[in-house]
Amino acid sequence: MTPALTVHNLTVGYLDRVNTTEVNVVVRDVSFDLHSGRLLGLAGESGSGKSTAALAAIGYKAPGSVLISGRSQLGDVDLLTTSVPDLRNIWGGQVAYVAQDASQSLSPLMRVERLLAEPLRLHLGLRGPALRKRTLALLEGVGITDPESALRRFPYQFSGGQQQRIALAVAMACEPRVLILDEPTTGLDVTTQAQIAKLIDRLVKDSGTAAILISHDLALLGTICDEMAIMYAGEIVEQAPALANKVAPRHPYTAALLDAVPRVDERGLVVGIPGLPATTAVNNCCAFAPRCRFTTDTCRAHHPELSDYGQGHTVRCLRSAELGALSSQRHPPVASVLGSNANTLLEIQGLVCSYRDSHSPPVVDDVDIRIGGSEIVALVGESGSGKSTALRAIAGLHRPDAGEIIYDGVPLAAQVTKRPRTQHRDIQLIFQDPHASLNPRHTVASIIDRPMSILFPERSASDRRERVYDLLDQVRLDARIAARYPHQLSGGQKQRVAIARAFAAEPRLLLCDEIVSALDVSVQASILELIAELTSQTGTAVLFVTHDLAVVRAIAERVYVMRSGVILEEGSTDSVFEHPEHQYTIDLLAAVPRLVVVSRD
Amino acid sequence: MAGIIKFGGSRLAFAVITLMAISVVTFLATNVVPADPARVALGKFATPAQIEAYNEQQGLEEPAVKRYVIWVGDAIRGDWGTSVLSKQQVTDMVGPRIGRSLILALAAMLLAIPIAFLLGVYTAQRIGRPSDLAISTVTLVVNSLPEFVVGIALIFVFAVQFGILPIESSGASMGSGISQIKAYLLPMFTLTIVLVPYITRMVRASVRDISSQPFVRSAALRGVPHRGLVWRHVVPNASLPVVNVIALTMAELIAGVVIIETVFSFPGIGQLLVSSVGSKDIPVVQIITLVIGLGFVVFNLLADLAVLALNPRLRSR
Ligand SMILES: Nc1ncnc2c1ncn2[C@@H]1O[C@H](COP(=O)(O)OP(=O)(O)OP(=O)(O)O)[C@@H](O)[C@H]1O
Ligand code: SF4
Ligand SMILES: [Mg+2]
Repeated sequence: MTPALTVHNLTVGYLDRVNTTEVNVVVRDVSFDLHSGRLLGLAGESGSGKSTAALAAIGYKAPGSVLISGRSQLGDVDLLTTSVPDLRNIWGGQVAYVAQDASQSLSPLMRVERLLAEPLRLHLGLRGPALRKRTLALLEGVGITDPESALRRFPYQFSGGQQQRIALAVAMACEPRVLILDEPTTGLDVTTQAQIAKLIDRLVKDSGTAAILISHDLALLGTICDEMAIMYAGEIVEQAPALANKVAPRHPYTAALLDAVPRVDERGLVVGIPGLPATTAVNNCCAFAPRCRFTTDTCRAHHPELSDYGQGHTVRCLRSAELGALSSQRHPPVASVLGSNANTLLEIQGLVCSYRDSHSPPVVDDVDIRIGGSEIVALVGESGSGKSTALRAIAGLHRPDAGEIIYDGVPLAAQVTKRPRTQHRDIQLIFQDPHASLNPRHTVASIIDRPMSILFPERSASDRRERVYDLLDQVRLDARIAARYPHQLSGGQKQRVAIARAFAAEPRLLLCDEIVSALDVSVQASILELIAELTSQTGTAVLFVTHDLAVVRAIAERVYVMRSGVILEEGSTDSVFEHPEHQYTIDLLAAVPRLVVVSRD
Repeated sequence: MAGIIKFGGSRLAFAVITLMAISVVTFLATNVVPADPARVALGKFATPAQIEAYNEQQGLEEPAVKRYVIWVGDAIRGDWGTSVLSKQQVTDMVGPRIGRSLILALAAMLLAIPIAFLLGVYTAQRIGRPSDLAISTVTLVVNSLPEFVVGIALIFVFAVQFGILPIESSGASMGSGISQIKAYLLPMFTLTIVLVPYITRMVRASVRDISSQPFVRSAALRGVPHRGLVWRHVVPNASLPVVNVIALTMAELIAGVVIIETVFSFPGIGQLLVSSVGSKDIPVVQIITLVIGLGFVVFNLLADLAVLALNPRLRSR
C-alpha cells in the first residue's frame, strides 16, 4: 500500500539568534511514512525537534526556519516545494493540524460555529443548511453532547477536554488524508487524557486518515500507536512497530527514556538521564554519546546511520548489534534509614477550606492527613480536587475555615507570619513553577543563602557560603552556576535551585506542589531521584502533591486520593495501587496508559 | 446576564464616586482654598461693598459643607447660576458649547480610530521594512509635537497657503451651512492628528503580539488566507487592549480639546474654560469642570461597554 505521506531526508534549521548568517540544524535526515488509518507516535525530550519536524513535513515554514533538504510527498505533490498559496488549499483540507491545547488551536473570540464553518467554507465550499448539518455532525462525531447549543458558545465556555474535542472536530472537518497531532493530551487530567486518546484512536481508524501523534508520554504512544519513533537531537534514533503495548528498546536513549518514565504498575524508582539533551544536530559523532552509558571512542568519532533489524525496526546506534536488547536500570526504592514513621510529625484533622468569594461548597472538606517522621506521603487528585489548597493551608498561606493542623505535637497558627521561626525553618515549600518562585534579580548563590541568613543568623557568612556550595553539589549543580541568574538556567536547573534553597533551611517537612509536572521526563526522573536521595539522607518528611499517579508510585510510601475536596482512599502506595478500593481510584488507575518493556524481541 | 448587571453596577458606582470626587475637588479649589474668593473673583480694586455683595450673592457666608450641598444640588437640577462677568445665565453660556465640543471630540475620534487601525495593522504586517519604519518614525515625531504646534502648522497650510479653510473657528457658532462645517474641520483634523499616532502604535504593538500567538498559526494551517487571518483572527483579539488604552487616553483627549479650541478660537467649552479662568469667573469655571468630569466618566463607561461587547468572556462573568 502506498503511504499517504512520505517524508524523506527532511533537514531543517533555525537561523542563529546571535549570528544570523549561521543556521542551527535541529531536524536532521528525518524520514518516515504515514499510512492511511494508522498512527505514528513521535516521542523525545523537549527540544529534540518533534514539532519542527512535523510542521516542516507539511510545508509550514516557521519564522526564522530554514529548509535545508528533504521531500514530503502527498500523493504526487511535494509539500516542501509547494508555494504558500497552493499550500493554503491543502492545509485544513487534505492536511490538518491540532496543537497542544485548544487555546493554541481555537481563536478565542470566535464561536464554535464559525470555527467549524471556516475550513468547510474554504475547502468544500459548503453554505447554508448543508454547512450547518455538517458542523452538527462533526460535533456529534467527537462526542459533544447538545451540539446545537455548543455551536453558539465560545471555546472558553468548555472544559479543557471538550475544547480539545472541538479542536479535533475542526481538524477533521474536511476529512484530511494526513493529520498532525502535536501533544494533544498534554496538560489534561488522566481520565480526560484517556478519553481524548480513545477518541483520536477511533477518529483515525474510522476516517482512514494517516496520523502522526507527538507526545512525551511513551506509555500513551505505546497504547494507541501502530508505530513509534524516538527523536534525539533532531534525528530519529529508533523506530519500531508498537506491538500490543510492548516495547523492546535497542537504542540506549530509548532504554534510558523508558527508565526515566514513572510507571503506575511498577514499584521502583525512576532513573534520570545524566547531562542535558543536545540542542542541535551533529554529524561527526553520536549525538547521545555524552550521556550514553555505552559510549566508546568510536561513538565520539563516527556518526551512526540507521541499521535495520527487520519488521520496520530501525536503530541509529553504532553498537546496537553488539548490545542487543537492552535491559532496565531501575532498582527498587531505598527505604529511608533515618527516623521512624511510627511517630507523627504532622497531623491534620477536619481541615475545611473555601474561597470567600464563591458560594460553592468548600474546596477542602473535612480532610484528615497524617505524616510520619520521615515519610514520603503523596496527595493525588485531578485538577480542582483541592489538593493544592490543602497544601497551602499547611504552609500557612491559606486560612482554613475549620480544622486543626498539629505539627510535632503543637497546633500551627493559621497564618505563616504568626508562626515562630523554628517552624518556618522546619516546614519548607517548593512550587511547580520554579521560575516564579526564584527572585530574578538575585544570583543562585544569594537565593540559596537568603533563607540561611534569616533562619540561622548565628552562622558566619563564610560558613554559609561553604554550605551553599555543599547544597549545589548535593542537588548536582555545577559550582559555576552559583553566580548565574535564574533566567540563565533551564527549567530542571531552576527546580534544583529551589530544592537546594528548601534544604538550606534543614527542614523536617517538605511540602512539594506539583514540582515535577512542568519538567521533561528525563529531568523529572532526576528530580524525583534527587528528592528521594536527599530525604533518605536527612530524614526529612515529604508531602508530595501531584496529579500524576505514576509519579506517586515512583516516590511515595503512602498515598491519599482526593476528589472534590474529600479524601476517598488512603493507604500504603503498593496496596492502593494494587488493590484500589474506591471506584474513583479504580477508574483513575484504569485510565493511565501502561507500557510493557521487554528486554528481548 | 447577572454578570453584566454586576459589572455595570460596579462601573456605575465607580463613575458616581469619580464624579463626586471631581465635584469636591472643584469646589475646594475654587471656593474654599482661596482665603477670600470674592477678592480673587473681583480683583484687587474691588470695594468692600462689592465684596460683601458678591459674598452674599454667592452665599459665601454659609459654612462650606452647606454651600457644597446647595451647589451640587443646584448643578444637578440644572440651575447653574449666573456668570460674575457677563451676568448671563451659565446654562445659556455653556449649554450650546457642550454640543459643539462634543461634536468636535467625537468626530475626531471617529476619524482617528479607523485611520489608526489601518495604519497599525498595515505596519504590523511589515515590521522592520521601510514602509513600517517610515510610518513609525512619522508617528513618533507627530506624537511628540504639542497640540498647538500641529494646529498652527495646519493653519499655515490650509488657511494661509491655500486659503481653503478659515483661520479661526468662531464660525462654528455663527456661520451657517458650509461655513459652519468648515469652521469645524481644522480643529477636528488637528485633534485627529494628535490622536492617531498614539493609537496607531498601540494597534501595531497589539497586532504584532497577537500575530505570534499559536492560534493564529493553527488558523493558517487550516488554510485561512492572509486577509482572513488578519481581520478574523488577529484584529478582533488585538483590539481588546487597544479599546482599554483609548479609554485611558480620554483625559489627554479632553486636554487636547481645551488647547485646540483656544488655538482656533473654537466656541466650545474648552475655550470658555480658559477665558473664564483668566477672568476668574468662578461659577462658569466650576460648571465647566463638572461637565468635563462628567464627559470623562461617560466616555470611560462607553469604553467599558465596548470591551464588554467585544469580549464574551467578560460578558458571561
Ligand atoms: N522559532 C524558533 N527559532 C529558533 N529556534 C527554535 C525555534 N523553535 C524551536 N527552536 C529550536 O529548535 C529545536 C527543536 O524545537 P522543537 O520545538 O521542534 O522541539 P520539540 O521536540 O517539539 O520540543 P517540545 O517537546 O518542547 O515541544 C529546539 O532546540 C528549539 O530551541
Ligand atoms: S552510538 Fe555509542 S554513544 Fe551513541 S547510542 Fe550507541 S552506544 Fe551510545
Ligand atoms: Mg513541540
